[in-house]
Amino acid sequence: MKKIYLCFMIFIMLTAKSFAADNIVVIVPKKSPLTKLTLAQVKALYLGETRFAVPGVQVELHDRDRTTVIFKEFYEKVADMSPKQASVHWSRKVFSGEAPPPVRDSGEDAAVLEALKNKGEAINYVYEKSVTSASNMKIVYSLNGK
Amino acid sequence: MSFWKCAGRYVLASAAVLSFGPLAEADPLEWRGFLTTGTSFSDSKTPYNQGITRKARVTEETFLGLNLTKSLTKEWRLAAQILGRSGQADGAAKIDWAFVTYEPDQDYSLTLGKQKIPMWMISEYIDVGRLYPWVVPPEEVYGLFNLKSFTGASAVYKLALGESTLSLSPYGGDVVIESAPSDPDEYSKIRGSNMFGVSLNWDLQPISIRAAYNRARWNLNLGPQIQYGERNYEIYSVGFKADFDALMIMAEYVATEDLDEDKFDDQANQLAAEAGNASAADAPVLLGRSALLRQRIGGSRAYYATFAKNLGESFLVHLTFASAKRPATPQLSRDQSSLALGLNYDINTDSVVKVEGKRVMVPDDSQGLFDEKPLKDEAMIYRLSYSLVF
Repeated sequence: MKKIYLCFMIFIMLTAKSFAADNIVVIVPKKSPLTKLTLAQVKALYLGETRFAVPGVQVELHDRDRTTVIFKEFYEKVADMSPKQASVHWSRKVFSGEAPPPVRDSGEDAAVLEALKNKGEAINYVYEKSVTSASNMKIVYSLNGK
Repeated sequence: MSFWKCAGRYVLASAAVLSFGPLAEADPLEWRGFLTTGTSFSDSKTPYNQGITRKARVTEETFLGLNLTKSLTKEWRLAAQILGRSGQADGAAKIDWAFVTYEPDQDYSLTLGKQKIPMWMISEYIDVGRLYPWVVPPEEVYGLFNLKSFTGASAVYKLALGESTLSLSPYGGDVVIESAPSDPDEYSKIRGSNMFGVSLNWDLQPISIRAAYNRARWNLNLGPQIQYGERNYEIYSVGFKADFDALMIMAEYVATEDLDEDKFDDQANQLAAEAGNASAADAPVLLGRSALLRQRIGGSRAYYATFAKNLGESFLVHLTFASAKRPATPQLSRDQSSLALGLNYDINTDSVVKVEGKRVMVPDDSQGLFDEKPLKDEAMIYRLSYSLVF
């Protein structure tokens, strides 16, 4: 019985860790004046409603490649949109001249962190597990709410 | 040159200078494009909606656009759209709109230049076929008054209301409409001056609602023989869209009013009286001018409702009912109703193939949107298109 319990606990710990590792976080370079954003602020930025993350602080919006899993997960959780809906929504914003298109950072998280490194006003999202102290980034919003 | 045209050119010239200045070095010029090509034909002997006949036409349905944006400074942004339609007489690409936007804060912005009139639900991207379900937007509403862009100023004030955003956009300026894009002449341009309007939008993703008002003074003297006079004209519209992942519902209603409808009665009566005393050659001309002045231009009402459902990842089926009541002459109206069924296939996120069949029904005393009174009171319009954004 103890063995079954132990296996169960190990399984829980492993899956819990994998869930934690899959959490998506919104990041900015450490030199950014931003410290914390709300879901509404993140949503407004990534739906092209504004270029101001908070009053007086404008950001350079970066986004992920539209074919990636993280793009799908991010828009589903932040805006309740499928990748197709998100793409069409952005096309409407761009083709109306209402908002400039976001900068598309292609590649994995490491490439995104590298692209943001020297851009004080940039903002993007990656998996939480990719953010280390060496990446010189700060987390301004976590999709799991922590 | 009007004030707005002059101001618009000054603003665009200033923006061009700014865009090559040192402030612009950090942000590159961003560009996107779109293309639509297709064909349409009908089973009616009478041409429908400016030339759709039994013979499939392609040229009028093909257009290519290029959309440019550039951040000039943190607060100033330049945007332009160049549009080429193969149906245009000269075939040349033209600046569809070009404006600079000043956005000092998240709550408000000011835009100057040639810009889209925020009248309809899809006004701002009406030429980008990838972004709406139909092959062409329902002509009962969107063809009622071909208002697309104006030169002037607009402002947007945004107010966050919980999860939703309310935005108010007043605007003003001048407008020119080309009434015969495939065969323009010196009289085919309709000019509207002293235009002002306001658009109120409420966005609560996935639901959005728009209400809009527009008023302008239109010069409807379209040549020596076609003189409707100068008229103040009002347009009201309200639209609703709910865009869920599997289902989309969209509806719009529009009404127009000619504020000077009775103003020309005396002049029309006088011309008719003069015709009674005129020679046999002059009388028909005077009577014709009198009839034009009596013709009703306002008083139109139109609406449509669209239901669209995704079938799997790639297919969308949509059904649209549309109706228009348009008084024209006492003898003949332009009323019609229609039912359209369409099927779209998304090749990928950026491109779509659409096929559509539309049954148009016209009352006895109406010519509907046919180019003349049709022989039958029902007709089918078929449309096929391919749209792409890149």
